[in-house]
Amino acid sequence: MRRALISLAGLLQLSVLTGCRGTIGGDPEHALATECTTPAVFEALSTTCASCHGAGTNKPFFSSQSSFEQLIVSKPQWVVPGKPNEGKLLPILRGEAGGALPQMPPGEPSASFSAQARAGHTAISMQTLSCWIEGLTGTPTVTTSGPLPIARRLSAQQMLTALEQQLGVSGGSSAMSTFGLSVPDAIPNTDVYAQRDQNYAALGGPHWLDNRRRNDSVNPVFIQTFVNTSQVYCRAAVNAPAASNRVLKLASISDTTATAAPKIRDNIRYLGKLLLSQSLPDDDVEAYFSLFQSFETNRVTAWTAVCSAMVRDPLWLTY
Amino acid sequence: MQTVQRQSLDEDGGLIEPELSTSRLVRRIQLSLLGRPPTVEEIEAIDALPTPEAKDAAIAELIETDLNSVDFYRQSMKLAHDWFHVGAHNEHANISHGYFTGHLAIELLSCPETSRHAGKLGLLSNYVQYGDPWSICDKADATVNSIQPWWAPETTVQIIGRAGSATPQSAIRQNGAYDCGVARVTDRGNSSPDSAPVPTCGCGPNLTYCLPPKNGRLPNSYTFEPNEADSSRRLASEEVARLFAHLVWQDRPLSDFLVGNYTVAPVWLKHMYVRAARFDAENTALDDTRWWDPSLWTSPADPEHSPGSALAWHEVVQEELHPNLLSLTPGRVLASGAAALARSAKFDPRLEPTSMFKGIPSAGALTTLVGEASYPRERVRAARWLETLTCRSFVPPPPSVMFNDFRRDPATEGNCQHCHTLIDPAAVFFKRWSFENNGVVVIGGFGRGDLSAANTENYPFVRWLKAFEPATVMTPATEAQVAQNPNARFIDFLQAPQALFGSSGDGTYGPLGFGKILVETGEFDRCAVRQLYERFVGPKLDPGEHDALIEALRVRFLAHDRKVRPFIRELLTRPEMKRGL
Repeated sequence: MRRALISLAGLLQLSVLTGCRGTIGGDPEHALATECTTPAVFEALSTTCASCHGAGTNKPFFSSQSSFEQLIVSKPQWVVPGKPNEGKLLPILRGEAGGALPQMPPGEPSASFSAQARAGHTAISMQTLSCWIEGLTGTPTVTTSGPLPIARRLSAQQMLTALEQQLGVSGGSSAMSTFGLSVPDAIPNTDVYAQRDQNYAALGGPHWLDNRRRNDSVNPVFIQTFVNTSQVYCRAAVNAPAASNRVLKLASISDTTATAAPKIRDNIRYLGKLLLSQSLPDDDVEAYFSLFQSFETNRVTAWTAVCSAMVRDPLWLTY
Repeated sequence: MQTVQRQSLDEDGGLIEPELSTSRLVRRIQLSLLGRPPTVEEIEAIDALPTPEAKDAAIAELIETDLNSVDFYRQSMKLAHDWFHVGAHNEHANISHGYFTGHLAIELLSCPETSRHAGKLGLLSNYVQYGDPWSICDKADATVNSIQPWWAPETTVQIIGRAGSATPQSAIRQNGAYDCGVARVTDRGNSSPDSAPVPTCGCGPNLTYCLPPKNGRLPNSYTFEPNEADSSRRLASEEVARLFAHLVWQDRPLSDFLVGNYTVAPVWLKHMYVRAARFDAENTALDDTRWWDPSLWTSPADPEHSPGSALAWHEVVQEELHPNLLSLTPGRVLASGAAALARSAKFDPRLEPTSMFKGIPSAGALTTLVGEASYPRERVRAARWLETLTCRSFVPPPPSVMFNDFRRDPATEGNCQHCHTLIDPAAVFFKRWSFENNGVVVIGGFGRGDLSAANTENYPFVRWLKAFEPATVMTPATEAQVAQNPNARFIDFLQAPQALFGSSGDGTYGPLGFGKILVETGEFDRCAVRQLYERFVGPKLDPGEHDALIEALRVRFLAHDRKVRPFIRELLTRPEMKRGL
């Protein structure tokens, strides 16, 4: 349980976007960077450039120092080490690069970086930039970012497919009430009241017929809907007739921890394979067993709690 | 998740996530390729294998099975929807949303069950201008023809009255000769004389000017619903995703998606293309082709239908359906890969007369009906295709950025240039295609879209005149050139120093010119590998942070001739594929 909460909180943090940094124009009162080093130049140029070239922009030259090194410093088209006049960086800052985009920032000549520098509106002078390029030797060492996070969230479609396959219940069934899921682009669209389409949208969609893009972020609306979804699908599965019941495979609804503890543990292990595609460690089995125990005066609720807790486990939600 | 990741980073000395167990790896593969988790049986079968080597072999076999399954084809379609997010056909184009007119065809109706000619189809209406009166269904001497219809070529239908009248399908109207190929009734009750068929018009050869009835449904509604399998609007809406899935499934180079001269279409979608083309009197030769006959289709089709089915998504050269979507190959041969990229066509409307213009070079998804109808207007098309094909996003500039004053060109003036510096050189290529509000396709500078002959107060001419401002980035023709030839506004190629991604291209005009620049500059390849990596491996690659990896992936993608399935196969062997939760 704790792992699930930690994970959802972590995913929520991941979904927060970073904003742009710096502004064109800058603070005329600031001190000019005079150090001819890549970190100093990156920081000083970012003040002017990162608002349009920061993270998430079309050309994220200034999203990080490694980005600056990879996309500018190590590209001969922009910077030739030791030769300030050969790369395109200084000419474009002067508005003399020619071609389709001769100047940065674009616009009137007075908007060029060099014009702003002359007016004292930049954090670094053209002379210092030239000094920095002169001092570069060979291909720069690129500051690498950390390893990539691999696991990603199931999409709404994958969640629906998984729930229907694993639990044997349909999002369009009456047992789902209005908490089920339906795909608005499906043939046919089964959601006559639009509530199930909305649930699907809350889990990230997409609705491509309406140009609504898929969104795999984990936000408060997602979490709120996901909790309902896990519970309603699991309850419907627990309530299914014994012959077609996918949740109660190795235990029956009448089994209690007092009368059939081994069967309940076996069924929890089975659910681990069914929902999480793995053999549960004994610690996890015991945690789920305790969860069952705390609700077992009503076994439908108890098995729903176990099942939906597994669905909310990051091992279910990610792949 | 961050906590779990950080722990594994510490323990593994740099690896951000732990190595997956075999069963968890199987789950990742199944979800990535098929969109579903593995079953308990699949997990237990692999877990039961005795050695790591046996498990590896089983996983390799599983991947092959998955990549050749229909579910993988369907996942490819889902990927295309997520990637390109082309919406429903006519969702945003200048086509009335209340009724769908994609077929531009007249609906046949059935004689009542109680009538002498029960079940026979005709152009039946109590309004004489729309067809024969319903009373014809009881007339003993009514003309009845047995005709092989385009929508069910293996059958014949009984056609009563003028609907089945013999060719030539022409009649005389008050304004002269009338081409029955442009006759239509888009919804009953429409009294516009321009859209009503003349009384002697029939349904043309194999009834191609008409649609079959669907009992119990309102006219045109069954072609309109986007959530019905047999709805034409649905089929049209799926075209881009189907083309992408087809390229994946048939191991075609993905560059064909934007520079190939073909698409995929079942017979109903083909009909929409043919009708769109047939509205130009120059294209009457379409009446004599058997575009609708699946027995003649030998090209590959989708795995969801049998190859001979009229409903299968067969590969088809666009010019076969619409003669103004130029194949640029001798004999309209299908061009793929390098052959597709080698296609070029030049037409400068500033210098050449309109009579020399033959159409728009076909360019895969860029010249599909839904590609044009879902992204209305040139700048929107350019922006959406730039977003999807080069993985860019357009956001407004921050308020602190100062720009020069806007006067007349958003690509060089005012705060709009923040995005239009890139959008407008791309929009140049997408100017010619438009829709009248009844759904008729209009190709600018040609036929119905000839600006020099048009009533310039009508749509889309009135918009074109406003939008295509001479001497701007999007319309690099001078005032004098436009005054001499109004169609010079349609100039739709780049000429140095104009450039897109640093390239002026080879002068090829229209969407093909745009597609070629995207492929040749590597912009499309870099975007494609980012999309595929994210979809099948997991992480979202940032060009700022992961430039070297993106470049390495691009090189591998090219090594696979831009074929998606072999590239995915390689992606699945990368070490990070085995990392996760």
